[in-house]
Amino acid sequence: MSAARRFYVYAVTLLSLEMVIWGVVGLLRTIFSRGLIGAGSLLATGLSFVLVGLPIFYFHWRTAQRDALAETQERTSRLRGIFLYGTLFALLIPIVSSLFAIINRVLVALIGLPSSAVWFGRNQSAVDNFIALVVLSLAFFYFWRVTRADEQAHLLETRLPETRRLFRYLWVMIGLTMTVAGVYNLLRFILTTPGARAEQAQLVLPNLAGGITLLLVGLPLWGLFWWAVQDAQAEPDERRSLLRLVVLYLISFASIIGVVAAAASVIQSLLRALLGEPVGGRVLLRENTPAIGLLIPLLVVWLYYGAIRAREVAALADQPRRAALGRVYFYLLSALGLGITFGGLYTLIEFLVLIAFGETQFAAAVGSISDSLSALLVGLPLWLIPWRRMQREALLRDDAGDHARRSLLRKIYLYLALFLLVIGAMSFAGQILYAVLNALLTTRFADTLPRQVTQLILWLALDGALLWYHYRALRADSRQSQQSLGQRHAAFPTLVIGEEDDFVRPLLEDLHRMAPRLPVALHSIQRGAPDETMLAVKAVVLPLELALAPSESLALWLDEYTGRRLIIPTMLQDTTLLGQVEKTPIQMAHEAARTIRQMAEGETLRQAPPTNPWVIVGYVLGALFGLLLLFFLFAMLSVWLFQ
Amino acid sequence: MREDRFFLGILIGIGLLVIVALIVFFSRPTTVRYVSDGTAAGVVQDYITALYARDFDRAYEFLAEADDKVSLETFRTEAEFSLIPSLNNTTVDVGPEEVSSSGNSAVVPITILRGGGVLDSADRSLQEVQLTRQDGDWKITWAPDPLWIYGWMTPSTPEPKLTPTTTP
Repeated sequence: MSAARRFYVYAVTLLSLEMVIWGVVGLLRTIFSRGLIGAGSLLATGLSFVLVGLPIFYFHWRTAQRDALAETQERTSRLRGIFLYGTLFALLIPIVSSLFAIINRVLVALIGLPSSAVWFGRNQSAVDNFIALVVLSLAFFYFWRVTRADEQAHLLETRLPETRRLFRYLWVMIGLTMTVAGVYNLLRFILTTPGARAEQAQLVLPNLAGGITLLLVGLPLWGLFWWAVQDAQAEPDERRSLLRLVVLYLISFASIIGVVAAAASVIQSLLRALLGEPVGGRVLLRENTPAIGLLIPLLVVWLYYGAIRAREVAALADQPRRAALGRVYFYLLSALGLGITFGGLYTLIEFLVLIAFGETQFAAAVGSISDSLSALLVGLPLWLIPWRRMQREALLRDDAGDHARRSLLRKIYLYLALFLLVIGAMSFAGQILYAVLNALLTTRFADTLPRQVTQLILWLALDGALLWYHYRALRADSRQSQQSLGQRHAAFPTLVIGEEDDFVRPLLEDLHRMAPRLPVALHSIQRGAPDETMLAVKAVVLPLELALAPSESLALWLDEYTGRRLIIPTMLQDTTLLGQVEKTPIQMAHEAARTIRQMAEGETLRQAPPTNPWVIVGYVLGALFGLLLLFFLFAMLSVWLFQ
Repeated sequence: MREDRFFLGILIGIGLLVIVALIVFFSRPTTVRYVSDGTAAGVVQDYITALYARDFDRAYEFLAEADDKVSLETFRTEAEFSLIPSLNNTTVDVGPEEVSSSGNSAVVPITILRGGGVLDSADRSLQEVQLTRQDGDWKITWAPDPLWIYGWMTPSTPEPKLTPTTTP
């Protein structure tokens, strides 16, 4: 089956399956839940869904199954794997929500709350949810059996494990989020109720019902899927999985952000009380209940998954990859901490200056000062602990230090910090000049001018101090890298065999620019094979036609040569290079120079990325849209789960 | 997986949390209690309790008599449809500062805590309820939102000069 046909068959199967399932659910709901009287249009909707969807589903699914059983390639195709696990995912979502609605409804009734306290499916009845649960579970069971049969066929080249891995990790994250939300709601109930008056205790009863429901549904989901992925670690493919590392990083990072936000909220509230804002102990506890309720489960999640992440990264055999993965986590934390610290210092300066100039009273600014101090108390350790660790690594004078200094992530971090701080410095300096010049030129000296200028100067000083510090770090990196890289380049003599043409000229120029200390010799093929002294070079660059059909003397020289060879894929008549995109001599020269530099520096060689600018624009837009979607979904989920 | 003691610890911790939640549920206060001690703070507390308990007739009794006082019928309707939805996401406590009184006037400080969740921090504000003594009893002449609706009555008592004291 061609890919296009396969896509068509599975897409129609999935859509028609959804039509049939929801048609059947609608029909049964009309019969059992609402009664047949006055339900003509509902009945017609259900019937039409089933009557149209069923033959289409049957025909397409039968075709897909027949092809899969007839051809191994079909059964092991990635699209079939996506269809099977995608269908299981699409069925399990409403199963979970129906189960949630049923349990929540029962608990709300048991606790004695009105039906409006139900969190999900308020406009449905228990029978509605039960019908959906049964029909969807039957369909889920059928497709689960089909998937199991495919898996148990033990076919080579099967793509099912990839999709199964994604399916399992998605459910690990969904189950974990529900569990955290459940614990959060229970803690809110537990911390609010003791000592509260009856009417106050009544307000948090929906949290009890919701919390237990979330745990009854979410905990088994998290536990079972996490158990499955942990057991699968016995398989080498699962151990090497990039997805697992991504998920571990995502969970660790999301939980530490939650911990930091919750801790800042608690510290801010305590500082307000300590700085003299009148507040009773009970109000203080109640005010901090949401933060404490979030802090405790997320701290446990961070400790648990953080330890697993650290253990698994430490167990990676590839040292540079291991170090690079560690850096992702620490630079992200450091960036977050730096941002919070800057924000804290910025607002602290703002309010201290206002107080110093008598424009506000300390008592009126207690809230803002507490905000600033809590941001500093949380932001400083979050910035300094990972940053010092990364600095220690970058100051090493060995290979590890070299890799750390040249790490793309470190460069992004430092340049981003510099960029934002320079923009900040420009803005503050511009505002100072504007305020002063405006006062001088208009001769209107506002009462607040001294305060404004003092504030701006202090902000500029803060910005400048951080700018200077990061600039120094970048300079130190560059100095040490130049020194160490220069030595590496000098120890990597390279021989280019060819003529001074459109490829060789830019190659020599690029090499001179990128690695000025790298010794390069050009040997014209007209002069026969290079002499024996050239056998000591670390790398030899030669065009494809010479590699394929060298002269006798060159063939002998190449036989003796033991260093690295870089073949330039020049286009030959009647020769096709698979996987090779046609490039101009200049493009090839840039790529060859970069590869020689990477070889000299002991880096892992990387192929050049696609040069089509539209592909890059597509990647950027895709990433932005993905982030936006993720943020939107997270916000929606948070509002619903942590109400 | 069987050796994952941390995971097992998390499961045990969650189990204990559910048990604690059930103990708290069964031992929670269920009956609405009024202070009824005749102090200004007690009257404010009882007014708040009556509103939360939807005992609007009782809550109405705590309002001072005035020419333009809202009728009981309007009070019931407005309290049900305007105050109760706001109160569902708000807690109100008397204190923490002391009650101030001067002759027949008293001001009771209250702490209002609105909202509060993961994405929004609780908004805490310190407000005051004004009372006047009528026929020997403290009655409310003005209260802040969400305990009051503008127009229920015009505060007739002049702004008192407050001195911190504890009311009898």
